[in-house]
Amino acid sequence: MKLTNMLAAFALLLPLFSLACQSTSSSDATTLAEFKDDHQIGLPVFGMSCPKCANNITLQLEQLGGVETIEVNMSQGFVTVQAEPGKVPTRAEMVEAIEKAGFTVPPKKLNALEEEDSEPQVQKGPSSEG
Amino acid sequence: MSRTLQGVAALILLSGILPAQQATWTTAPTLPSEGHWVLRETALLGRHESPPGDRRHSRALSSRLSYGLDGERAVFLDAPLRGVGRHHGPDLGDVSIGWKWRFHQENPGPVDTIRASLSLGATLPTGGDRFTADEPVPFAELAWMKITGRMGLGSSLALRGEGERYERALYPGETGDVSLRYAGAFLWRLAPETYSDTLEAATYLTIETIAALDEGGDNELSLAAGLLYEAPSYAAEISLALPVSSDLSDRPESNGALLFGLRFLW
Repeated sequence: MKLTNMLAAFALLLPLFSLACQSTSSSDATTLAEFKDDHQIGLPVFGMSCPKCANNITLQLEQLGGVETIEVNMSQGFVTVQAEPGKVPTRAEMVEAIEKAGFTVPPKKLNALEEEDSEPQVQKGPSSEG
Repeated sequence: MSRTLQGVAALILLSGILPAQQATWTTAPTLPSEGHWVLRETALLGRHESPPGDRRHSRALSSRLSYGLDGERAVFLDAPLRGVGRHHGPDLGDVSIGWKWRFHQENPGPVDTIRASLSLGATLPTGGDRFTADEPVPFAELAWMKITGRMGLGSSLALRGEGERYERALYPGETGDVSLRYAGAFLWRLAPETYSDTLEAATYLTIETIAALDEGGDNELSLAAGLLYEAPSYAAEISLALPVSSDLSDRPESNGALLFGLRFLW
């Protein structure tokens, strides 16, 4: 067997990896809408495929200042952070931490809340929207 | 391309790049998040036979320590302890260092994900006399997984460079030849059927296939079945791999291998 044959086989398999990367979802987007108030913020998170993977989110969010409790809801794909008043993380801080953990916050357009973090927040959830 | 290589290629294609959550024998494109660590400890018990009637048992205790550099990159270190028979070992094996890059990530749903990674590294000649390649050996590995609901599919393909033959070569990659290893995994979440609103443990059934081929023509195909229990900060695994077919001239035939593992995240 030639080394070149093995390298060729390795190279030929590369496109199969990209072909296999076609997205499908076992469920529709989260049924919960993101929200923020003076004490907490909640965001939908995609990709929490296993408990140990999802725990990376907790490890990252714990590093944000003022955070008191973190709830990871795997069934709905939703993360809620409760913090000291006035120290609730911004959406951008949340997204950054979640992405560092290897997960995705779906585009805001999927959710009910359209306000920017800098604007006054209106609580829109968590609530089941079916 | 040789008949053997064609056979392995066909196997891979037929398995649909067997289409895995973090299975036992199949590398997954998972890594610790930035600033965090994962330690995986595995105990591998193997039985080998060559020539027929000359049975030999082997033991390997391996540690892999991974550190997350950011959301997409990690570095890792593998340190194996090896032993053969009742009176040999344990000896330190060749330590590996590597870098892993998750170059593709797509999360189409709350518990759905598709990920792919590339690992590059080298095995260093730190092993005792019986378990060393005597020189640095480079390796590259591609890993892919797709998880949809309760089902996980995954595959990994590793290419390992040339080194000196291990004095006691037992496993693929130890004969000194360039070697290719493919593993495919199917995982099924046995429990819970659906996740609750908290972070809870899950149990998976794992079915895997492992194909190994080296430049000298040695090839081996095994099937493995096991269980994986995964809690938020640790996981436990057990898997039994049995040979389906093999054509080996540079190392003993395998009669099977049993692996126990623990993983910790902090």
